Amino acid sequence: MLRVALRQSSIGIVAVSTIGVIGASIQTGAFITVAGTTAASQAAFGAQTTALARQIAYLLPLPIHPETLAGYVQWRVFGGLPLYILIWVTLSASGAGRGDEERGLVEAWLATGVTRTRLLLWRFGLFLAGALVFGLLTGLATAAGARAAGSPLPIAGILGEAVALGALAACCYAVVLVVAQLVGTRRVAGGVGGALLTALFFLNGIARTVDYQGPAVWLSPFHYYDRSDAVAPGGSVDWLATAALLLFAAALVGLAALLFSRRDIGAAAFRPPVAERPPRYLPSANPLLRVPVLADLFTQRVGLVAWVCGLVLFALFMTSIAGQTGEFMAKTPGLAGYLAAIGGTRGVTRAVIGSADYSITLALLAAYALTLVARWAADDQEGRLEMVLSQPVPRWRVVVERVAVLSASSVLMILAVSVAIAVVAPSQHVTLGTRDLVRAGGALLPFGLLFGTAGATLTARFPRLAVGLLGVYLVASYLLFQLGPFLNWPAWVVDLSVFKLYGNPLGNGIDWIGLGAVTGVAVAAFGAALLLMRRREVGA
Amino acid sequence: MTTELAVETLGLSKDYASGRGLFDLDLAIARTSVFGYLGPNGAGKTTTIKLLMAMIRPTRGRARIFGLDSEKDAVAIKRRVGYLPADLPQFGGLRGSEVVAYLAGLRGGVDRKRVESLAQRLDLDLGRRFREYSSGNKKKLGILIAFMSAPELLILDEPTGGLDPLIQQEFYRILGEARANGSTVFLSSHVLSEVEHVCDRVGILRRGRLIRVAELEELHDIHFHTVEIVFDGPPPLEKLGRVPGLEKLVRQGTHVGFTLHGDFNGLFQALGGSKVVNLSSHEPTLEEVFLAYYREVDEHPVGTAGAAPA
Repeated sequence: MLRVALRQSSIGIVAVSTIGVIGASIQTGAFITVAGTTAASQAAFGAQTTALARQIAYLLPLPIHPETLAGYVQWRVFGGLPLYILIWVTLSASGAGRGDEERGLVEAWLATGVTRTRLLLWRFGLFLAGALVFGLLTGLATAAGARAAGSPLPIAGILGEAVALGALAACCYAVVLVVAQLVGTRRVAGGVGGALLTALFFLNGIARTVDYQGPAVWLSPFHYYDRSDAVAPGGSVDWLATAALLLFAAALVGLAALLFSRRDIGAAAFRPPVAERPPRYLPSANPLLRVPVLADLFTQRVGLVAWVCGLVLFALFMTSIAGQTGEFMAKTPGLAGYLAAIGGTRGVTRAVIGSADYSITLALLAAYALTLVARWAADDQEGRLEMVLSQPVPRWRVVVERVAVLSASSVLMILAVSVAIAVVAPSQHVTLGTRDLVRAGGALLPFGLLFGTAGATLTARFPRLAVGLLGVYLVASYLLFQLGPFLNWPAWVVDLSVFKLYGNPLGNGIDWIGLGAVTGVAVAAFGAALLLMRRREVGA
Repeated sequence: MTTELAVETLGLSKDYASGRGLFDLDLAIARTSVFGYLGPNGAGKTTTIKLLMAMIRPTRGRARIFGLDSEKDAVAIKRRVGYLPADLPQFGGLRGSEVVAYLAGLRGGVDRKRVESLAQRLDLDLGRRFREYSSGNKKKLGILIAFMSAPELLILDEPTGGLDPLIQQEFYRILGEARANGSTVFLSSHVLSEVEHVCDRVGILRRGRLIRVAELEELHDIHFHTVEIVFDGPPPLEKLGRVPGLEKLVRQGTHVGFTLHGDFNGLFQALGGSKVVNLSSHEPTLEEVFLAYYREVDEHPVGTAGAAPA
């Protein structure tokens, strides 16, 4: 049982640790490049960072001595990790609390004589160990990066931060575990648990922004984590707050175990009375279910709305700080080259909106495409594709419909993001016309399709690997784009990045060569997907 | 005449290596017949069905359905075929009514009244979410989907697994009506009594090879019961020895045990006048039947499986 649970947790631990290590390495490596090597340039960088940090205090804590590598790392690395933890914990705890149950694993484990409490404690213990590994690896990467940059950091402080990070993760995990007992499915557990953690995260962030120290802020586990700043110059670990996080985690796990032991397997701990209704024997009259493409969009409607809302919120946020970010870049000598590359000469804020907003939208569109690829792979593995193909449906139609669904939802997302940016941009003293929005938004579409069509091709041959391979390419693209210019990598290497190929239509105009290349690859992948779907075996 | 056949396979093979798969299947199923496809787990029943449905590609050989090539004419064939897989896939949070509407939309031309009638007869509430369905209800939904378009050919993989006896009987009635309306049925099963109940002909599959195609009457010869009787006194061994189909008679005091092929009429006549304290009979499992049958075949080899249409 331990081995199965460990195998299930290990993917998340490896993924999040990799992100932590890469993130820490990038930030420590980037400090000298961006802040410069003289005391004056670093002081200017610190002042600009403090000003920018005030604008985004609801996301990251206020920095302490950001003119030093230690202060910068404390702010940018250890201050930013709780957001990753929020996502990781939501996925992991909803999977352990509900996903295993939906797959029948919990029933099988309990049938072996394991008690429910022990089962829950095993899962929690495994996660806690994984969280500590994540914290330690991230800390070690930070220490190694700082040493390479010639500014060693206090090891005790890094270890203390790693423990605090692990305690925060454990507490958040326990919160979602309790939620998982109260609802009936993994999806709802993930949605409600994620929403609750996000609310607690912003409760702390907003309190930080308005300098509120009242009792409500102590409800947020993120507030307890914020109290440790052991890597920053003069900082320390708040051991009492860290212990409190672990204590809350233990209490919440106890509550989750109590609820788990009292509920039915497969059911929520508290079920509202179900209204009596006569049985239904007719098929649904919903016309959407009978129209190709719309039927798939209808079945994905909840997820699609969530993605659109998430993208719009990101666009609103990024656009609202574009002016401040542009000012920070303009006044930071180390970023002059980067600013020129993204078209800052035509207006700094405009270039920042084009670079940051649309690049993030591109990344999120690609991520959305990957969720669809995962769904297609699951359709095959779980027999839904076989059921569809048992109807008089040609195989090519399945591929065409999948790509059409991706296209339609991508257009919807791009439209929503464009409207959000257009609404907020004037507050940053930038006016974007329809032509600007169409060019920047329209150029995004082939990139989403690239990931979708490549995924459709890969799922035909490697259904289990498709999402992982494309996810690695997406992350590698980001790293190539971010690190390539600083590390003077050859242009052809950087050109492999989708972010580079997209460029910055608002700052530099459309990169027609890049767009053409991506469109060409997407079309070729579409053709390959059609061919493979025709030849492949289904449900073999 | 090829067009008189609903299903025809010629040397159809799917080799998964290590002796697994389906090998050189020659089969001919006439229209409006009910063909039972019988074999233990792993014999190749589902592989055959997936080949007929063009879900997988044959290593060699070919299959024709209504005279059409199963691969090249897959779409035209599926307009005329209703399919029930062994395991219905997960449709998560969709309601049964939505699953039906979605698949009916792909097929086109499905009569809502027919769906309603089938759902009522199978006692299937389509208003519930798929994830809330028990395995029996999922099977009912699969049956409904297979039958909803009144297809000319029904390909059913283990159709009654998970159904309670009452619904099984209703399923057999629906199957009978489909046949009466001109449908052909290809039904795989590992339940011998089910095949006996509904089929005209039976194909028996063993380790990927069709070893026999039998009429229903021949199946009765294969089928047997294990009987034990306790008498109030010495058993009438002489009378018992004359019972048609009675074999392997063993006596222990007042107890006798034997196997009986065919019906019980001869046995009951032989028991007339004897005082029976207890009589028990059990139907052997398919594995036991097959073991007995295979032993017989090994001892007295017969010709290649008949491929004549039913």
